[in-house]
Amino acid sequence: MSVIEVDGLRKDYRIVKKDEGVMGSLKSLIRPRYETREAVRGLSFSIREGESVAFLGANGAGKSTTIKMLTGIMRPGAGSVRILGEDPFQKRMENAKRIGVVFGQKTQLWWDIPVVETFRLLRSIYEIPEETYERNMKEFGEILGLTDFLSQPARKLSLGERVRADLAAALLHEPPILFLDEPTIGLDVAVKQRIYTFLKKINRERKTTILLTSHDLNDLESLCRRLIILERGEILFDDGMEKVFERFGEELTLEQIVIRIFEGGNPGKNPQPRTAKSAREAGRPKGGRI
Amino acid sequence: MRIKKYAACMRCGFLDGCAYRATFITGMLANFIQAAVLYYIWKNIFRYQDSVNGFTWEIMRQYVLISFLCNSVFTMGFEMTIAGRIIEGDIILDLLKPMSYRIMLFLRMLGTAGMEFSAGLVLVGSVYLAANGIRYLSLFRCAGFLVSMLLGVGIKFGIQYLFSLLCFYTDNAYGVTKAREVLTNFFSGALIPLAMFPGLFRRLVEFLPFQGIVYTPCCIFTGMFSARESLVRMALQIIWIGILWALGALAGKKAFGVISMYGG
Repeated sequence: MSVIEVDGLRKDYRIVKKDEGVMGSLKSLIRPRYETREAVRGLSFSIREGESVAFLGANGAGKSTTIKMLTGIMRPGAGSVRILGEDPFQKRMENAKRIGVVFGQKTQLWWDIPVVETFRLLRSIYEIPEETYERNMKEFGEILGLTDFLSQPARKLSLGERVRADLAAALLHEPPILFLDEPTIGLDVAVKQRIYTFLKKINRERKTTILLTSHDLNDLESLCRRLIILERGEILFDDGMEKVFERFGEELTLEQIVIRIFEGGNPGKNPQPRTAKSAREAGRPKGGRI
Repeated sequence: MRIKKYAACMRCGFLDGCAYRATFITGMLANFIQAAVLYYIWKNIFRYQDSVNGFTWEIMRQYVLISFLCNSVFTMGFEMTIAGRIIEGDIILDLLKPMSYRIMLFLRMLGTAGMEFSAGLVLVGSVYLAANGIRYLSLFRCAGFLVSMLLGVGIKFGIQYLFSLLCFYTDNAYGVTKAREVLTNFFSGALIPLAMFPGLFRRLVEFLPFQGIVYTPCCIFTGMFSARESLVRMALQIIWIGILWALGALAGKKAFGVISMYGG
């Protein structure tokens, strides 16, 4: 059974185009010129229950945009998204109950109150039954090692502690689907290890469907069975993790393959040399910071 | 079940208020100094004349203290916190909850306001009693004041919510907060009772929502408004809450659309 269905998904951003220099900035202040940048250009894929899928792509390839559309906070430009049969943007609140989301660079913890208070708040908001809450707190507490800092406010946590707490917060209501956008960014090896062990366990024991973006290739390789590679908003590769080696070269490591893809389009098949300028253009769209 | 959710949000707002103890105390102190200065200025003014635009020293010495209490409830505003979350992008995770973002925010503010009100009441109450004794107090007017002040919190929330959405467009949270603070302080009657504004200004203020925050509850308390007028003014407060709520819904829809436009 497919839990995520994506068909012809597109998204354009409108960005302000500035000319160089003082005059250029003034001109854009008075009459901003906009240009559109295609962030996602027609993605189609479906993910079955219990799958663990890695989303891979250079910075600005459209991974985060896709995740935002899947979670329902961003309206798709065109095409359709179905999460457990429903449109996440139209039914954002219903959808929110059935997904868990972790953004490595953002937090849902309340800044000034103890972490455990955020957890209690989530228990009420998601209407989590008492015994489920207790069981999960116990289990997450053990595997992620939360007990030491539960009574600390979020602002006092280290990055590793914060991400672990955020991960637990996203899973308290036992969502069938979990989205992770660079959850291990900036973390030390030990914490990374802990998080991936935890994700593996959740995926195996609870059949939680996991969709994750990351640049930690070794960890992705051990966690995810399936790999989707995005390149400039399009799917370049979508198949089992082992197939990537068959296609791009058995003798290479995943890292080598990825470097080739990021640097020069499609390795192995028809490598197209790219200038530094076009590589820059494929970079992250500028504009709002949200 | 819904009540439980709401109570949990308010509880966290209350805890939040406690966490900001230092901010709260300094804010309270600043307001208190302002109130003390105003108290003595008015005292001197009334030495030379008996009444200013219908206000006598009897009323003014109550007004100064009570407006201080109204102003202390939710002093810090949540624009800065919200703006931080908007700029960092954490707002996305707030929007991904199976609960209305605005209701969550409102309950949180109410919780914090509850904490500030109870602390303010102890302080202002004792100063008030020391300065005025119990001679002006009336049970009926106190009850009216409490209701009206609560409605004022609703108006304050509506205004702050609209201003906090501005942070989606300008990244300057500090400016937005200051602008809102100046507007509310001046037009709410926190500095000067609105009845003392010159003619045209006075009429303009009647058409703004700010008076419902401080001026209306204070005038109910001091007996400047008759029972009938008090009810009319409270109805006006309710109408403003409705208008601001509707505006907030509209502006919220638009502002959250900005996420779609820029992404990133």
